[in-house]
Amino acid sequence: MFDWLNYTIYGEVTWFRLITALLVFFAALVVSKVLTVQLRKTLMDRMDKENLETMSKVIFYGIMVIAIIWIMPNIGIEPSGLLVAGGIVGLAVGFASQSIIGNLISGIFLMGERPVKLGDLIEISDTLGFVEEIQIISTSIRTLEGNFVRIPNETVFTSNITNYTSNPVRRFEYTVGISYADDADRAMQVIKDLIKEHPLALVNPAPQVYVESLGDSSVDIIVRIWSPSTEWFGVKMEMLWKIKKAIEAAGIEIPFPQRVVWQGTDKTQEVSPETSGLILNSDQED
Amino acid sequence: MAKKNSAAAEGTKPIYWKYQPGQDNEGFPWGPHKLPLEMNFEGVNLVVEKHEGGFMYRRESRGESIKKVILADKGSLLLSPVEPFYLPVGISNHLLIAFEQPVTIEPRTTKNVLVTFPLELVSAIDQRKAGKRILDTFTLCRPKFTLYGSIRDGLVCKYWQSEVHNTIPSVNPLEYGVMKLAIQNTSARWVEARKAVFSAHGMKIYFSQSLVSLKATMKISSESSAETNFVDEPLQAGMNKALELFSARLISLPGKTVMEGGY
Repeated sequence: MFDWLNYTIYGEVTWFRLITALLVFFAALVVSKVLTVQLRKTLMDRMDKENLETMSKVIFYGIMVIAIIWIMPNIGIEPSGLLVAGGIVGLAVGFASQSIIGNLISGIFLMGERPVKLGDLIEISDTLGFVEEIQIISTSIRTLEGNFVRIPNETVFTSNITNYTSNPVRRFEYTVGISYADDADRAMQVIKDLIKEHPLALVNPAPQVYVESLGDSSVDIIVRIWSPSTEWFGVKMEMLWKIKKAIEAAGIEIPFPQRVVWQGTDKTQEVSPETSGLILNSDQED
Repeated sequence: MAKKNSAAAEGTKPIYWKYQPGQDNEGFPWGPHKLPLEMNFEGVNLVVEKHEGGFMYRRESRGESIKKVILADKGSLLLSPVEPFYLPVGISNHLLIAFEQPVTIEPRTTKNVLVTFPLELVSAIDQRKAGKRILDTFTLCRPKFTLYGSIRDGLVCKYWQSEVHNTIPSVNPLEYGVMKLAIQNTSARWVEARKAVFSAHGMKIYFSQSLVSLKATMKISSESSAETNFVDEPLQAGMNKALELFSARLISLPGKTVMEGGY
């Protein structure tokens, strides 16, 4: 019944081989079409439209080229000759486009993993700035100084990335040194009141204000404040100066580094800077 | 209390109003008011005076000063309470109300409580044909923010702490609104609610001269999760609907908030 399938059409090509070739071609067409449609749907929100279109076309035509090479023997065309010529060209192109392919593949992985997104403040390869554009080959960053930096996606993918805005909140910290003669409880209360007043110093996670160490020249108070990541830097800048002014307004001294130097003969005398020693800045001690 | 005084805006009778706690207050005149006008309420001085080709809008309150030129021949000015999410702008779309007294609710029941919430106010110019245009947003409350949920994926929320009331508390309608919150415990256990989180979208604020109100629901489904939503009804009869700035911008967003980080 199916003997006709073995009839030769031309050369060594039979009806069976021709039909097989056609079936493979149409199957490849359907698979590549379905794959690109699904890809567009999945990455629509994650990728730039232009890049997505380019990637879809590369995948579509890639599958079709593989399918065509595969079916060539079935329709009487020997691809070995093409492969030899194509191999040499391919080798040359391969070497030339090695980094491009690397960047392209890294770009695809970045778009899937999404460690950064547009508008994020990130630090990568010693570059700190806001993500302006994520393309299939490279990622563009606007530094805090307003410069444009283009980083190849392979570098982005293989480097350590610090994303300062991926979490909704971020903490900053100060060390405030006050004089030993002043009341640390009062200083901490002044700082807590300031934090309570500031709208963007978050209630939760709760701020921390505590004496961390008894330093050489001061009682060191640690101040830890959480703020929305987008407002973090502004709040940090604003609060430090406010704390300094509030502490001074409360009559609390923020001392300079100092060291009391005793002369040998003073050991027997009553301890007091006036009678026995010199108060020097740390710079002068040598 | 409205009374006559010297007019800064030519040809107008200045409106003075001050909230007096614990007394019968004459209601706040939200408007619309004919232009020009001068209003002074709760430390806010608001003037719309004639200016070349239109009007000059000025507001001074708590060290803040705003000036705007309005190029229009006529119009009226109205004030309205709005969702408290504009000052500072863009920080959060959620309001977390922390209950000063935790509320313990028996299983499978619904109980109503009344809590306060912070307000922001807008002034808008209104023309019969052209409609309304917001001129200015301000608040008499001090804003504060907090995080609800985890540091990894929590929500930055506007923070408000409120006492829990059984009856409508007497509050300044320019500062605070009163929310009737129906807490439904659908679980088979006693639960204790300490906070509720609400979305900015779909807040249905109503106001009268002496009260700003909102109705909401909180459905507790397990020991750690709850869901809040709004009810589009006034707390008292005869209240007007406030301007809805969030809902007008994003109609498709629901007012529902799923609280998966506890209550």
